[in-house]
Amino acid sequence: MAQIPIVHNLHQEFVLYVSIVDTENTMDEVCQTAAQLSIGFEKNQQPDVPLRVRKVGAEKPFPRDMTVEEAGITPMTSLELFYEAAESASPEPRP
Amino acid sequence: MALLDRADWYDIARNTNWTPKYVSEDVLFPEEQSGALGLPLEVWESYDEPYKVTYREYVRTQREKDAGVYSVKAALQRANFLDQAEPGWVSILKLHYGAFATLEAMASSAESRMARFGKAGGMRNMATFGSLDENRHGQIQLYFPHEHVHRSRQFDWATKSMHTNEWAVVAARHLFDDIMAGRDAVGVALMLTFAFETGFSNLQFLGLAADAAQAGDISFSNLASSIQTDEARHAQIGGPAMKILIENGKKAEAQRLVDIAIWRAWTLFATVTGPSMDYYTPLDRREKSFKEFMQEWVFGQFERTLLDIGLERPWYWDTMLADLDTRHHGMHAGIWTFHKSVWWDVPPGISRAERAWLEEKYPGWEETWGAHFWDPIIARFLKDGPVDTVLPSMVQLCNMAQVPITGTPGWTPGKTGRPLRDFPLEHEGRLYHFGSEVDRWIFQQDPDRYKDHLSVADRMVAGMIQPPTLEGLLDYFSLKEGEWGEDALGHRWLEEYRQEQAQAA
Ligand SMILES: [Fe+2]
Ligand SMILES: [Fe+2]
Repeated sequence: MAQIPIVHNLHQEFVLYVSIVDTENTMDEVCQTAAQLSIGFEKNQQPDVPLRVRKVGAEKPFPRDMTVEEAGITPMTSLELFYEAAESASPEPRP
Repeated sequence: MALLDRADWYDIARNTNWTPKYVSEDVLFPEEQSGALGLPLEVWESYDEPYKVTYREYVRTQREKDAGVYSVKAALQRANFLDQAEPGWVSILKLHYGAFATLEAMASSAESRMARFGKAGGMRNMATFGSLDENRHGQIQLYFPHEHVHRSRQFDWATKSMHTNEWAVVAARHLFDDIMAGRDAVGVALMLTFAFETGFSNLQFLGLAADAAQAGDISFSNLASSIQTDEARHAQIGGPAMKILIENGKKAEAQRLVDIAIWRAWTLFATVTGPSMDYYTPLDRREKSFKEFMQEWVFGQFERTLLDIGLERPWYWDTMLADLDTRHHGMHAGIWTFHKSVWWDVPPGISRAERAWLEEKYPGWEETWGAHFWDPIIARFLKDGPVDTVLPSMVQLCNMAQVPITGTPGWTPGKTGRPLRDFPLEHEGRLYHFGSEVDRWIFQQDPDRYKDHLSVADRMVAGMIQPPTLEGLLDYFSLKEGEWGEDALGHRWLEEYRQEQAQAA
């Protein structure tokens, strides 16, 4: 168990945040932490679709129950939190 | 005593170089100070400055300029314009003086580098006057705000800002160290005078002067346009240097320096001038939108200057155009949500009338910035009451621009603006974050130059800001009570929305 800072980009937000997560946190818990910071979250959320987490530049998200440690996320890693359905809204074409 | 006409002696006098006998040319003009890219003195003798002036002429003109500006100030001092000025305008003044006064004084040393190490006689002449200009700009912009310090300690930031680690100050210093303090003579000529001053300083010193005149601030309007007359002269130091570089096979290097400086200038003006023009200036005093000024002066006038001189459009021109719809809105949103982190009071600038103006100038603003940023905040304020620090967490800063990494909220394909994203880069085991591909590209041009700098966010994460709380951070920024920014309207703007809500109910 350790607290580490991550950089995250939440779907349709206006600014990148640095927040602290625990290495034991699952990806769903990371999303919860991030959503609490978000200004437009209620407006932007897609209630029936789960938020997913992937590294910036990666194509596939991590499994929702994978922990931060298992995912190999190190301090200040840049993560994208997105709705799978919103894939087409992704900022740049995936490799 | 009869004086020769300038035209009869100037060209000969300024090209009368001596041939060094005791030291080599490289010792007299070391590359790291001259940046002449290996071009010898003879080549630089063809440098032809478009604006020729003698010391006698210079002193006479400058004396008149100063007399004009100071006497207008003295005449208007009693009128106490500032006591009746709209809050947004007062904020612009505090921001302006804090951001520019001491940097102008610092520009004096950059000009001095050209005055000593420029290989061209004409450059050395013009830069000698440029150095005196910048000294004047430093002095006058410290003097003007001083009379207002008794009104608010925030005006004292004209003197204080650059001696602190306040985040916007760190951003400004990072930029000016890069294009000014930490460059050789040719670097300063291309990056500071050609790119920054020719391309951008109009925005702050003419655009804002126009707004100042509209706002009734004759004293500031006069000051800014007087400064700009100096800038317009010494900004021309870079052009002839550029010509020589291009003619001698150094175009790629010149283009690279200019590309770096234009983008860096853009990120600064989007942080400082953009919010001032589009959110702080009282609505009925706005001459043009920030975007319109940018389109006219940078994408119009300056682009022609670039092409005329033989350079190409910077490779990121389209990216910068798209950024016109995003960056300064994001900077404003970020600064307002954390207004305690700056030395001026921040007006939200989002009354219904102001929003209609924003939508007119930036079609699509309402469905992005309006609906996905401001409306959720307004809804929350109406429900729970307004708060001063809206952001509950540290935001990530760009490792080049040193400002928050932002994007258009609620962006989907087809909407104006651009999505929020990070442009990370791993270099020698450290992970860097950038707000755009251009900022990342600049880093890659010379990683050794930039790699050791820690952004304020990095410093927070590294435990250098203690305690790691809001209080600790404000203390690190040297912002004391009475200095840190408040909502410039004391949240009174919320009343309009409260009434809307009541009527709807
Ligand atoms: Fe200046
Ligand atoms: Fe200047």
